[in-house]
Amino acid sequence: MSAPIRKVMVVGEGAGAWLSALTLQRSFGKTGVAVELVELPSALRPEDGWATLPSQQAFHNLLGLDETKLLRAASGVYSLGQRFSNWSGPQAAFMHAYDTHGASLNHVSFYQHWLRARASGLKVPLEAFSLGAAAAAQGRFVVFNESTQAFSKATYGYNLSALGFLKAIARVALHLGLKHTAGELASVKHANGRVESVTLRSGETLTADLFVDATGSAARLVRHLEPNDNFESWSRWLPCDRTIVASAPVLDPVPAFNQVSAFRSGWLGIYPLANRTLLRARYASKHTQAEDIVDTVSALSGMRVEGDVFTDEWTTGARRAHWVGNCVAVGDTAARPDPVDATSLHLLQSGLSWLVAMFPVSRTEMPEAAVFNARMLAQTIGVRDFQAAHFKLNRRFGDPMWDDVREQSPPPTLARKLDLFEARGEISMNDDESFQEENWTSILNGHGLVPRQWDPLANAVPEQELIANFQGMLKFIASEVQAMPTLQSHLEFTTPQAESDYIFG
Amino acid sequence: MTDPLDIVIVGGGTAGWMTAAALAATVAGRQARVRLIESDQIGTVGVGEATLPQMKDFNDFVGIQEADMMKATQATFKLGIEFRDWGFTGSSYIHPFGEFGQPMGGVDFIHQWVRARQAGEAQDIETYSYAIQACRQGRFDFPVDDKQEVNSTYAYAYHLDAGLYARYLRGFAEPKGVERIEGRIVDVERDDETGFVTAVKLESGESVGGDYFIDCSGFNSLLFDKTLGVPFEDWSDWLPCDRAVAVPSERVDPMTPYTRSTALEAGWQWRIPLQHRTGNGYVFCSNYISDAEASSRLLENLDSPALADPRVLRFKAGRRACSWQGNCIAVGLSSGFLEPLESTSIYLIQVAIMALTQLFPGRRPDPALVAEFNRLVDYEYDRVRDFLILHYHLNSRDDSALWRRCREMPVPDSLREKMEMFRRRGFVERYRFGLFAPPSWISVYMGQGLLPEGFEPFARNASLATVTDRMRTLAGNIESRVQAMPRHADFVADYCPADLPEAPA
Repeated sequence: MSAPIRKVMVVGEGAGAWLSALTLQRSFGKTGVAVELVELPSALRPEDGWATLPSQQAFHNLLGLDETKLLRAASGVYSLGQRFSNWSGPQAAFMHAYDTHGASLNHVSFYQHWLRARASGLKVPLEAFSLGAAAAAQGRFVVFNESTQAFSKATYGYNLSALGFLKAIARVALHLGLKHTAGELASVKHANGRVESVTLRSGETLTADLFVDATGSAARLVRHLEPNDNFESWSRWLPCDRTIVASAPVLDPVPAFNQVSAFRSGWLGIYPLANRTLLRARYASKHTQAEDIVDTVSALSGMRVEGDVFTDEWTTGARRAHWVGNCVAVGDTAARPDPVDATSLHLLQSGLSWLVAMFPVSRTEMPEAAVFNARMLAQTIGVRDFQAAHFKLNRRFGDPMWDDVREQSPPPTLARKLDLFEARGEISMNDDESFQEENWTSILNGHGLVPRQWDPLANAVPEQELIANFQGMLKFIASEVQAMPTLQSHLEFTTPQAESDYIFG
Repeated sequence: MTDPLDIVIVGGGTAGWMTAAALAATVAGRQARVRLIESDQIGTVGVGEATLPQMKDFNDFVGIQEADMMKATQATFKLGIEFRDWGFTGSSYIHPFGEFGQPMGGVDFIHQWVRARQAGEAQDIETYSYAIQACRQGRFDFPVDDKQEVNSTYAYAYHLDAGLYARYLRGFAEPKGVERIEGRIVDVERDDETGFVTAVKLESGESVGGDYFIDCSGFNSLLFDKTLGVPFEDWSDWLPCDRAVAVPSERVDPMTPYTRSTALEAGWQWRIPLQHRTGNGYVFCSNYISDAEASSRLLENLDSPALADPRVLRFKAGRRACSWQGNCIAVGLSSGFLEPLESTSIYLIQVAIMALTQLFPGRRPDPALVAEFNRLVDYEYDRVRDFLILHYHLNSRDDSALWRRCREMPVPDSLREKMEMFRRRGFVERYRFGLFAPPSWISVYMGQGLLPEGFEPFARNASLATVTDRMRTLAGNIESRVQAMPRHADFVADYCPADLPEAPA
């Protein structure tokens, strides 16, 4: 077998750079691989922050990080889901909780029974049958017992302040022996489809067997290796191309969900943190001016904006191949989804998990790239489609951006999902999907896509039995949620105020 | 949903009666009128049949009691398949329904095994499979639920008489409302405009009309081929065997808890142990051997006296372009054929039935349901296909033209890439949907001579001493537990003893 990797170098800044460096140091630092981070000047500001999906938990576990200490360092809170409002016109707002709905009956999923019941006049919304959604709405944190465990898969993501989070990550990475060089990139030397070295402004030239590109949209390493048509724009389906970030005072008690509201030319997210509230708006520059949006943020959130307000360009899209030659693009260097679904760190961590699993056995040939790219393409498409569904299903008639995006024909992978859901309320799943059936059901139903028909097998349950069953579930959820701690008290209990140096579990 | 649907199953046999049983358990009666047309004059293909562990899910879904079913079908248990002389003459390996080892040091067992083997510290991979050790010693017991225990790491399937299974299902389906019509179909009537099948006409002159027609007519493919002319995708370039000769022989003791497949110069021979007899057959390619030669070869190879004259079947590997068109749904051989090398026949029937119950249509078929059904069924066929091709392709036999041809034939890209990643680093893709799981791939690769040259670099995080220590403990644990298991024949005699069959006429 040919020679193993001796050195891997991460080049970039922000979450992509630090999480890659920590992951690689933690995974291979003790196996004879040297890991070096070349950190470029960071674009992050104190106002920046991220909302993550539940998948972030598994990533923290992989890295051996203690969740509560990490939350403390990042002024973070738990988030049980996201509430969407004003997307579907007069439709009621809905909660996309990270949980299932109800329990299946007679081998038929709960949703099918709910569709049938609704057709016979049931007025109770789908989310009322979700333990996670009920807990989120009431500001609770889900603590499981035996009966709730059997009923629900409720889980949570995090809201994190960027700088605090990365400071903690950096501390761990350096403690583990990560070599860290700060500098500015002067040039990249490449030959035969591989990166050979990077040279810094200081004149220093650094080489490695494997490079990780975390330089953001400029893709300053990988772009030298890839074909010209490697970047696919998603702006047809995800038209917002500007991000505004601001801070507002802390919410007390802290809500257990994020609020995502659509407005005339974009959407506004309200993300609770332990010491402030993160506001993020996305809009389409084609349809509006930055100045108008700043006023909109304040008006829509009903919150006083504190400190500076920043506007960044962020166009959605992805590279078709994330790993080319000996260079792996991660995070927003590889794919730039719309942050609407708390996906900020999701594709980054999923890429890193796959990089660890497919870490090349040889420094000369890396056919692992094909497997990695196929996996990441599937993951990326799954995220894109989920987000595109929010936009496609909007009912904001008369708003040019929304009218426009509603008229776009969806990507074929999404069209298949929408067709089947509209026909029957089922979800057509692939092998690699970031969002599961329950997530899709929640948003498609929430945005008002009404299946033409429910599963005829659901009709086998006598109506009286169904009503009793539904009533039982609602009662169960009400009493269980009542017994849960509030998120506020849970946070006070689990994230002690004492500063701690290490965030290992 | 007032008027029940009218469903006509065209053909009995395993496919027809499994479909009937599933409909009997779900919709027959109130929601659907289910009729099955079969003719006593038309034989079914069913001989001794080996199955996959998923069959238990089907029986549970339908509500069949295992021991009862096993008694009625002369069934025995199956923990895997022994492959003799595949890969190279004189070889023997078992494809188990169970895991190899357990994850160690954050990676799958295979990686630590390769590492230990390279250090000269590992025994044959079979040593670490509970299911294989049980096979080798002819023992059986049910797996336990506790995931900590090594005897939880396997599943089981059945060997059964497919004709008796169909009869058993008939006994289940008829009392639940499925109506059996005896008769031979002589004509099919279609709607001029839609092309939908409206009725099938029997020899007696009777016309049987319905909303849906389920084609379970076997190789004849009465609706899909003869009526609708749905094209057949021919896979015989990769899977050249096109005939089989089958013969039952007397029961052999000890009764193995596994199927045996022995490669021969023009194909392979199966051996399926039942309680009352042994099912045998020679699957061969007619380019390389005549029917008569194949029959005499089969008879020579039997390990017990034959109970009948050999019977020849003809087939072609491949599948129909779709398995649902208009108001017709193909289940079983009418939708495609893959040789029984990995016991997938009943599994593929089950896949179609489960997809049908999940996407059960209303009065008119919705195109989105049809598309999803076809996607699910095609997916399964295609995945099984690659796995079967692997058996033929990966060989170093030099004794016949068939094996040389298969070794040299170009295989689908998807398979070529899989083999390369396994050779390079022991990587096996984990599917969320469909067959087969990693242990299956690992057993065939390694059993037929493809050994990984490398392993996941992450594996090095655990010390080799720790790993080999755990491997030794595991092997010892498996050995002692397996020795305490009952003998397979004793277990069957105790759990599900079948009545002696009537003397052959």
